[in-house]
Order: sequence, then C-alpha cells, then structure tokens
Amino acid sequence: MWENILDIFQGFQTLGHVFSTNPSMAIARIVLIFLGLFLIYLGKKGVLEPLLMIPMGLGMATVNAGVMFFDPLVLHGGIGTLFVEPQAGATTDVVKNASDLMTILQIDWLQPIYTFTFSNGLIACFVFMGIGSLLDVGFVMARPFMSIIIALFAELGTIMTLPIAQMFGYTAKEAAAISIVGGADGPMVLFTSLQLAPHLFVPIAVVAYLYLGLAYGGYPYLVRLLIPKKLQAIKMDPPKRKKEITSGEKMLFAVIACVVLSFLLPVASPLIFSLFFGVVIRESGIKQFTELLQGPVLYVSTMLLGMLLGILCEANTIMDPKVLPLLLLGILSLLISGIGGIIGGYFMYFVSGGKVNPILGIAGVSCVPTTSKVAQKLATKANPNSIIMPYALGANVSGVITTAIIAGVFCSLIK
Amino acid sequence: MSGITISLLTYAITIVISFFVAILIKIIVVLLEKFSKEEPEDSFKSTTSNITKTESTTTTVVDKQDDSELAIAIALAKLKSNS
Repeated sequence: MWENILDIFQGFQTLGHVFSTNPSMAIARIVLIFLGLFLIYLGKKGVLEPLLMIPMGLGMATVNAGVMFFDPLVLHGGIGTLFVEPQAGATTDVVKNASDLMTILQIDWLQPIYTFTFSNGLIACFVFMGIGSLLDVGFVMARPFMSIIIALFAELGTIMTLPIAQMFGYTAKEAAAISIVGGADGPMVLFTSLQLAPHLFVPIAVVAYLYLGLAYGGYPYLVRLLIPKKLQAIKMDPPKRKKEITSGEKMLFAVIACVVLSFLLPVASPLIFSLFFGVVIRESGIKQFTELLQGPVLYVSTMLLGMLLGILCEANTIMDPKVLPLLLLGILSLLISGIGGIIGGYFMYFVSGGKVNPILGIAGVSCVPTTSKVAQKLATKANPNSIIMPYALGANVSGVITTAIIAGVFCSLIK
Repeated sequence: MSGITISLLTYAITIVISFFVAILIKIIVVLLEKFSKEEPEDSFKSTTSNITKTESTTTTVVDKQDDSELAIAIALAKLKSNS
C-alpha cells in the first residue's frame, strides 16, 4: 500500500531512484531546478533578457521537477517527462519509426511544437521575420561600408572559435555549429546547428540563448575596459544625405539583397528570405501585416522558443559530456566577437580621423537591437549629447547580414 | 580541410560577399538619388518629418524594451542639434 501511495509522488521517487543509480544526474536535476528559478529572478530584475529568460527559467525548473517513471519509446532507462522527447525531431538516428513518432506526438504535450516548428527551423524563421519587420535598413543604406566593416570585425569570434573547438575534439561540422554562437544571432544558431550538427542542436541552442541573454549585462563592462571615457564621449554628426531614403528605396534594396544573397547562398535562403520578408512587409506599408509580424508572430515565437529551450534543459540532455566544453566555447566566441567589434570601432575611429565613436564597434555584434542599445546607453552616459543609435543600428543590421553569409558558407563548405 | 583553413576561407568569402552587398547598396542609393525627383524646398517641414520619422524608427526599436528615458534623451538631443 505504501508503494502505491509513494507512486503518486513520482517526482521524489524518480529523484531517489536516480540518486541511487547515478548521483551526479540527481544533483544536476536539483541544480537545474534552482538555476531555472534563478533565471526567472534575473529576467524579472532585467539583468538578463526577460522575454526569453522567464519562460526558459520556468521551463527548466518544471521539466526537472516533473520527472516520472514514463518512457514509452524506451530511450531513457524507464524515466521521462510528459513535455517533449528531444530525440524525436532534430535527428532521425533514434526515432526512425513513424508510428513511434506519432505515439510521442500524441503523448508529450509540447512535442508537436518541438517537432514541427523547432527542430525544422520554422520557429527561427518566424523570429527572423519579426526581427526583419522591426529593422530599418535605411541605417545600413546610409553608411553601408562603415556598417559592413564593423560587422566583419565583430565576426572574429565565429572565425576564431572554429579551430579552437576542433582542438577540443569536435568535428569540423560540430565546431562550425558551435562557433556560429559568436555571430550572436539566435535564429542563425538554431538553423546552422540543425544543418551541421543536429545531435548537438539542443545544447548549442540552450548555451547560445543563455549567453545572448548575458550579452546585455556583460558587454558594457567590456566596452568600459577597452575604450577610454574620452573616446566613449565622441559625438557623431548625423548622417548627411541629399534626401531621406524612402520606404520604396528600402524595399527595393531588401528585395534585391534577398534574391542576390539567396542566389549566392541557397543553403541559408530560408533565413535570408525570412529576414528580408519582414523588411519588405515593413516598408510596403501594409499595416495589418506589419503589426502581425511585429506583434503576435514575433512574440509568440519568442515565447515558445524560450519555453522550449528551458524544457529541453533536462538533466539527461545537459549532462552529456559533449555539452560541458560548449559552455566554455560559447562564452569565448561571444567574448572574441565583442573584442573584434571594438577593434572594428577603433579601426573606423582612426580611418575617419577621430570622428567615429569606437563604441559603435560593439553594435557590430548582431544581437538586434540589444547591442545597439548597449552602444547608445554607454555613449549617452559618457556624453548626453552623443547620438550614435542610427550608426549603431546600421552596424547591427549589417551584423545580421554577415552572420547569415558566414552560416551559408559554413553549410556549403563543410560537408 | 583543417579548422584554420575553413575559418580563413570562410572569412575571405564573407568579406568578398559583404563588400559586394555594400557596393550593391551604394549603387542602388546613387541610382535612386539620380533618377528620383527633387523634394520641394520646405526645410522646416522636411526637417520636422525627418526628426519624427527617424525618432519614431529609433524609438520603435528602443521602446520595445521599455527604454523611455533613452527615447527622451534622443529627442532632446535632436532638438538641440537642429536648433
């Protein structure tokens, strides 16, 4: 009878069972529960991006608490959850049978969303459409060369992390999927890891989004360390143009860029299309579509993305030995990207004869619009009259384009 | 191919394509400036609409994350620079 009563509290029972067979896994479950709660706290306080961290934190805490004796596909030694089966989606190595997939789709409540939107990159494309609808490409069109140069410097993190990741024993494809974290572009990370290393897709995505949330808090320290206050206070004149760039012109650029880049890099065309689709809709003036993309599409997909990432942070997935080096490589990639961006800012400072504020370099890291905001906040703090946001957004948007190019080249080059 | 080779090759290709995109943007902007009509001389209106449009674009991005102080600072600075 006592056993039947204890069966009600399977969360505790499974913890006890795992503790007796694999204590490190049990400890990992408890740590992840508290980490999830901590992420919620940090998101609420605004230290980390709340849009992602709050759903992610709650998902992480709940999935590690709600473990039971349930394993319909016999993949995890008799223990599982009713949330999602990560191996039924990203890779076909384990769940090959269509009837097994249908079984799990009908049992795990988030499985349909994971299998049909997450593991095929659809959710990444929706997020990119929403981001595209928020972007004003006029900023890139005003100073294209400066924006592109800064963005290229900010890609140093991606470029340098690939060989370092190979030294850790990862294959070229795995190393490329990991290094794209340095591009600081969540949807691009999802897409590239699905193409190149689907078996590492879950930990790479979790690490990437966790660190991207940290970028807002961490990059200001990097800027303050590397750029003296005198240079931070440089006031930039507004971009000089004979006339303002019209929405028709921006739309024309978006259409041409979309087609040309898709021609050059077909493997990245879903994301390229999604980004410029958002831009075209914005510039087309179709208010209903613009509001749809900027509102429900962007926010629903961001919310589901955060929630799924948290739910994928189950102890079984995170405790894979291949995951721990990712934690180091991810932060290294973003750190080198930030430093590279600042070097780009300095390069433009010297080339322009001291007219460009080096803080602009951090905006080359394509976390839109987080890094632009970081750049403007720091410039305003050093000099309240300094307005660098238009230039920062130009570099930000260019960063998205250069990251898309690198992702496309990786997917084409590394077979 | 080794990791360093892949990295360097990727970076080189990315630089070439990125500059190609930048040149494309420049060509589009130059051609559009050449063939579009001149706007009528109404400096106050056009300056005001420029401020409003740029401000609203900037604040669309900024306000999404609840940074109203930043938007006010930008608006004040723009008014100062235009006065």
